[in-house]
Amino acid sequence: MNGDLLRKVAIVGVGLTKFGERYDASLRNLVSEAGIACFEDAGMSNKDIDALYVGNMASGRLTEQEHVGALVADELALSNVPALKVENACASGGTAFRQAYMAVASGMHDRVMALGVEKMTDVSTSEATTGLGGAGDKSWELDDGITFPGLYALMARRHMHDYGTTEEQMAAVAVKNHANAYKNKYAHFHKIISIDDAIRSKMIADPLKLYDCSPISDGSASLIMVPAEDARKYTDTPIIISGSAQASDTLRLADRDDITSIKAARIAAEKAYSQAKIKPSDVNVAEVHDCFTIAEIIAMEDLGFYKKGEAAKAIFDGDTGLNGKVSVNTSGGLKGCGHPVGATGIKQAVEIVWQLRGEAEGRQVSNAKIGLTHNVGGSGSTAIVNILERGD
Amino acid sequence: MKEPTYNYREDSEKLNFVGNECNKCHKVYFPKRNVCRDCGSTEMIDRKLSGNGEIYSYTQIMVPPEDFNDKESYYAVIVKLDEGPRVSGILVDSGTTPDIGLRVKPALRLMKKDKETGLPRYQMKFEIID
Ligand SMILES: CC(C)(COP(=O)(O)OP(=O)(O)OC[C@H]1O[C@@H](n2cnc3c(N)ncnc32)[C@H](O)[C@@H]1OP(=O)(O)O)[C@@H](O)C(=O)NCCC(=O)NCCS
Ligand SMILES: [Zn+2]
Repeated sequence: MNGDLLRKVAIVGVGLTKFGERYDASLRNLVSEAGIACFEDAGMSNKDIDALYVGNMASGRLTEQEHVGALVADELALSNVPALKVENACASGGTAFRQAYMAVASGMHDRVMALGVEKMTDVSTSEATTGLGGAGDKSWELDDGITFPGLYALMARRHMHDYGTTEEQMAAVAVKNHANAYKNKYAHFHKIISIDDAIRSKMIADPLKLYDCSPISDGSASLIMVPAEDARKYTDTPIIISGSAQASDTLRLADRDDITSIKAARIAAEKAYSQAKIKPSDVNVAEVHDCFTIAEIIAMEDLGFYKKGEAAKAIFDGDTGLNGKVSVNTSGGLKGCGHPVGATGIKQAVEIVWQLRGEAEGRQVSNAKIGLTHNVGGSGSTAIVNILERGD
Repeated sequence: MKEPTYNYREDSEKLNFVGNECNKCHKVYFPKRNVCRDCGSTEMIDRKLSGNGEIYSYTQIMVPPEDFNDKESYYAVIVKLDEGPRVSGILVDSGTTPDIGLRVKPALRLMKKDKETGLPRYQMKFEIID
């Protein structure tokens, strides 16, 4: 489609729940916690919203609740608006974000809410991870005994083989993201860890250990988008969506030509950069999909921040820490902040909005003007990259 | 009798290494496809593969899927088959530690009885050729 026909879109409100093992909260409670916070932040009434997109992967499997679009619209007392849930595995949130963006950009709707939610701890860890395994190919991966961490372990092993990436370098991703999460009151973990702690943690799928994995979390995140020309009615610091792109690839990992890179992410990144007319080096702050530590290393290469094979060392050397060359996963990422699957893609955007507004208490990146989110589904079968900028 | 939850419909293809080949561009696939990924053709012809190949990547899975089999850990691999396609699978327990580049051949094994149906379930695994 001709981009010139699209309206510019701004984010004018965001809301987030505390992530973690939320035994106190049901799916519905998480939705209202994030939704109400979002209305307050936007200074908007729930009756102002005219469409809703919900990101959620597995409510049916994890809580026996389907029809989550209507559930959220009902819980937040929206006005009989069109409401739907989108599922794209771990990229469900990013997909809901992009659907909301397209709805406003196209002129179809004027005040759209995107909300992501996942309630994961009402089932055992093994039931949850079996459910997550459905993000890959059920009959040609999961049924054969290849778990989700197993898929990323296969990627990690090949990355180590081709580029000399080490277990210490992967551990450095976890150490950084736990340090960032420590400064984020919404994060699942508030625990500083060392490279040694990470290396000595229990093996899950060699070479990935417990601290290389994101946890099973509950949580919800939400935001409201409007046409940029209306944004100042709601906020003094609108955040503009200057690029938004999505791509897909084979469902099975083994079918890809190169498993040390995620092609869908490379394609989405290239498109998003060109829409926003920026280069990777213009980005100040990024939330990337570190479902496993190796995934952050691969993301930094796919997003063009580093040449292939050079990200791991740079991360180990501290390049991507708070106020580094580019500040990556200031929220704590999926590793430290937690990974309530459907909420993650929206949470990434919430964190970038806070960073660009200058509201990221205790972990603010100085002078952040351009931010990026990178959300991946499965072992790389879906990827979404968004670019956000300050409206001033 | 209940239906098994695994995809038994693909067993004959899986257990016999039957893939297919595009009749236009001759790309070989395993598992079979109905549409060629490269050229889009739908003229696909079955082709039996050897199941021989070499290890492209591997991992030792220490936390198996729920109710998968009796083993506490096992090696998973991606194998590049001699005919071209790559496929993931698991290794038989032969005591040899896998490495990238090692040659493998297929090995049919009884996994366990399917929990729903009580029927035996087989899996085509790989075995490292010493
Ligand atoms: C790694 C994993 C298997 C751990 O599960 P587990 O071994 O059952 O862990 P438990 O829930 O029993 O927790 C044991 C301890 O480890 C901690 N823990 C659990 N997961 C953790 C993680 N990923 N990182 C750090 N600590 C973790 C728990 O807080 C708990 O600590 P405590 O004993 O101090 O309370 C599980 O978290 C997992 O599968 N993660 C990957 C999720 C995934 O695939 N997501 C989709 C990616 S897109
Ligand atoms: Zn073809």
